Amino acid sequence: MSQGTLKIEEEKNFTIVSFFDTVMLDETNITTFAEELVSVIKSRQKINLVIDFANIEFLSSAVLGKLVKIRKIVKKQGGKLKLCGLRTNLMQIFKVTKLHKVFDIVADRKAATKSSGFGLFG
Amino acid sequence: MEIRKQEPPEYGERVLYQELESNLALKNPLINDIISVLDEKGFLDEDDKIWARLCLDEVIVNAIKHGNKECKNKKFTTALYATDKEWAVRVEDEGEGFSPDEVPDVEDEETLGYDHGRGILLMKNYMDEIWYFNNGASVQLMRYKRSKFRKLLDKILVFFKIK
Repeated sequence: MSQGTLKIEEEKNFTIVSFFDTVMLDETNITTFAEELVSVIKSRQKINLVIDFANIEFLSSAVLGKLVKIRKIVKKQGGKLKLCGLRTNLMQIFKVTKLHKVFDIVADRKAATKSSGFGLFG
Repeated sequence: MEIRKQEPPEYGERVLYQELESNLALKNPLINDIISVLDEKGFLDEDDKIWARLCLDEVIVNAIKHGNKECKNKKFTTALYATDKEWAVRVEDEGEGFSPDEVPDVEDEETLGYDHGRGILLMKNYMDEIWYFNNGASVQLMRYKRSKFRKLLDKILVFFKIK
C-alpha cells in the first residue's frame, strides 16, 4: 500500500513505513511526511510502527522535532515506535542530540520486527 | 562553546554572496552552491557534507521562517568567507531577531522529549565559533579546516562524549 511519499507495509503485527525514493528530509517536505504518517497512525487503534530510514540521506533538526511529536502520538494511542535503517552519519545526529535515548533505534527492519519490544502485549 | 554576541570578524575573501527572497524553495539550491564551493576548496569529506548541510540548513531556515516569517518581500543575505585555514558563513535577515539564550536546553532527562531546540545543539557540535549579532537577526558560523588526524581525534572524542 502506498500513501503519497510513503510506502506502507504490514508485516505480522507491525506497520512498516519507508520512503519510495531517496530523500533529504527537511523543512520543505517534513510537513507532508508528518501529515501522511499521522493519518496512518490515526487509522489504526494501537500501532506497532517501524519507520525505515534506509532511503533517507539527510535529515534536519526540524525532522527530529517532528519525530518527537510522532512518538508522542503513537504512545498516546498505546502503540510503539521503532526507527531503523539509519545511516551511520545520521545516527550520529541522534547521538549528539541524545535522542538515541528517547527513540528505540535498531539496525534494520528485520531487527525491528524481531526484537522483543513489540509484541501483542508489548 | 560559548555563543558570541558581538559583531564577528570577516574571514578572508568573500567567495559567495546571495540576496534572496524569503522562500524555502530557494534554500536547498543555495546550500548546494555553498557545499560545492567548500568541497572545491577541500574543506569537506562525506561526514562534513552532512554536518555542514545541517548547520547551513539551520541558519537559513531560521532566517526565512522565523526571521522573515516567509514574507516574500523580505530578503535575506548569505555570505561565505574562506581562507586556507577556515570557512565562515554569515546569514542576515530582516526580522526582529531572537535571543539564543531563550532556546531551551534539550540535553537533560526532563527536556529530552521537547520537540524543538536542537538546532543550536547540532551547530555547537560541528562549528568552532557561533556569533549572533544585530539583536539576533544576523548569525555567523565558522569552522577551521581539520587534518585527517584531527578529524579522527574528533570522532574518538565524540564517541566517548556521547557513549
